[in-house]
Amino acid sequence: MNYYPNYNPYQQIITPQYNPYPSAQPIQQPIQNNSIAGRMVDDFANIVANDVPMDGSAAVFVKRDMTEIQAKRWNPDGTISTVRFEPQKQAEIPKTSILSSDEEKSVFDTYFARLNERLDHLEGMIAPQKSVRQKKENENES
Amino acid sequence: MNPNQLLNSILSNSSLMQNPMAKNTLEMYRRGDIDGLKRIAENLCKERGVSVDSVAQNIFGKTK
Repeated sequence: MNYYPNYNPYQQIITPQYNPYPSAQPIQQPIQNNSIAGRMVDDFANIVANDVPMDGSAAVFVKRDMTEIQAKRWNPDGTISTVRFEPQKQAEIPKTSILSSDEEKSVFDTYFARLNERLDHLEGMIAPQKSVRQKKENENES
Repeated sequence: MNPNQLLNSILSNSSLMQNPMAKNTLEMYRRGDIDGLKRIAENLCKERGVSVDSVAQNIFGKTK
């Protein structure tokens, strides 16, 4: 029989246990204000100083007809700075026409002329055979 | 509340100290930049569409 001097059958084996509910530590997250100050305006002249927040953040004002947007913010020297944004007008899509230029028209004219020539040639090849066949048919009928 | 207490209460207000204008004003006050402070006051009044005199009268009129 082996003797283990350090063996204690009543010893509690402490194993790290998984705790699904760890003690909740309050984590203070900074409150982020994700909203943007501002409003729709008929005229930018209607904007008053109180419309611009004094915490240094910018307020965005959109003209009701969407022709301009202005961002305003208080400067450290007590003035209000304004940044103007104008919508970029969508570039006009050029009219694409296959007959827009004389050059294109002449190319198509040439192409159709050649096509007509070939059709005529084919008709010429078919027409004599047809006439021979018709002659034979007429002879058989008579 | 004396001016120093007022200054300390402002300095302890973190949200106010994030305001660039307030920060700039306090720095000017600490430096003793009276002209700078005056300019800020004038700009503020101008942006708000009021005169410096009317604001001063309003403030000092009430404190009297």
